[in-house]
Amino acid sequence: MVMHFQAPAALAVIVGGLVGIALGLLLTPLLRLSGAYFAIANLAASLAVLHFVANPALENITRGPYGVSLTGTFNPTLAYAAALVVLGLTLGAVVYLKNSRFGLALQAVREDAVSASMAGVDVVRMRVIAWLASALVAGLAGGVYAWYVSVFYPDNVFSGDFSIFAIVFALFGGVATICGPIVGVIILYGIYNLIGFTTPQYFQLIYGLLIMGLVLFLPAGLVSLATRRGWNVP
Amino acid sequence: MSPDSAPILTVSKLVKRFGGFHALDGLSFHVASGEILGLVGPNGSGKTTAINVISGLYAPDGGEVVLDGVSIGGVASHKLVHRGINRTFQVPKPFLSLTVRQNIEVALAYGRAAVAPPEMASLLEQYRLAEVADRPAADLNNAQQKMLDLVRALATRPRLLLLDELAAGLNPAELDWIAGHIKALAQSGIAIIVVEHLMGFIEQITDRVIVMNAGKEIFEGKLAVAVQVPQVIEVFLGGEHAA
Repeated sequence: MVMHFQAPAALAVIVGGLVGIALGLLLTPLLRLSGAYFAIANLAASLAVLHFVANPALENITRGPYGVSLTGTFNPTLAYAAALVVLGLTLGAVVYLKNSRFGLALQAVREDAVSASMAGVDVVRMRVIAWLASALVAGLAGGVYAWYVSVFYPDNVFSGDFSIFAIVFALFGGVATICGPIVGVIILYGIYNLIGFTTPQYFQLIYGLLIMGLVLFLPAGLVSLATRRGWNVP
Repeated sequence: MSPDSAPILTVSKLVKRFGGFHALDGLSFHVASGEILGLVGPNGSGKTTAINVISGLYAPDGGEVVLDGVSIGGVASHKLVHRGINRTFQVPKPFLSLTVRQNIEVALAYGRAAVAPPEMASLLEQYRLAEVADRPAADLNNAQQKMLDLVRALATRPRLLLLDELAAGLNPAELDWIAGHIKALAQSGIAIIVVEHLMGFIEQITDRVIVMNAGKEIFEGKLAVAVQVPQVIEVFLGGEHAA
């Protein structure tokens, strides 16, 4: 949008969200899978998108493997504000989901799809809505990121590392809570900012040790330290 | 079934295969509103598969399942719930991390919209779940989880209720108590199909039983009569006892 139509960056972020939904719709057949198979297919799909975007034959549209440099929109302050808006909207949506009948039905589907269907819940519809909502958030976040950095390459932004990073942040803090992913981002991205650039080898070491510790001792994330004591974590 | 009542559910020549194994091989039966029908037979005879096909978890490979004159074979489970079919599971399947109350709330919210849902408090009280209403379902014992399965089904206001070994693991006092509830549900007009291995319990609550073996019906009638039929004795106890 910015590159071809000189559209305002904020509008491009919104279109990024809509493109996320469109891509999500295209990939809805993946929802026929579940569990590990769905995760594998999801990662494969992200790699397919990488190779599609990085295709030199599409250089006129995507700039192919040579990356994108957005001129005239670089404004980290505004981009940061946009990120806070996206975060606020996302958290608002999650709070709604935690406290609504619709959210309860989504939790039921997560717990047991067969039982959810016997409670009258249309499991396929619920999964599609959750999938498209996730795609919307990913699209908006991607748009904000593009605005913030202004120069990026398909090998970076569509790599498996990038997607896994986001998942690890959420798992580290604790999924299915509002606080967990935020705590995860603050700690892990904080460490990344502290030593990720200067001494990346130590970051990789600490990152690996933290993930191993998480899997072994806190599979439900850091928030489980609180929930195990009976504290109610939003 | 009273002689003049039309069946709410008719199953005709139902076939379900898993690879080369015929789990159901031409099963036919019917059940009317207010009737309690028992499905009995040895392990692997196809009882639970029949329940799974009727409740939409499996699509049939042949034959027909008809509810109120409309074929429902292969229709998605949640749509069947909205048409008035619900069930319990042999191994109870509550939403473990949700509270008992939330488990029931899902069914109250997404069950049959055409009829007013029952009251939460009344369901909790009747099925002895009031004291644990705000605890996660994971904290319940097996008998309580079975009751929660039943209550979640009842919250959708079923007209046809399929009970898959609801009584297994209950003590004698609990069996009498739940038998009374099942009879009361039938008297309220719900058609009930009960899959069970406890013959005393089946005899206590059913009007009629279908004895199954290898996916087929081998007897239909009163349980007291079934136990005298050589073919029924043979499938339960082996050939040497049938003579």
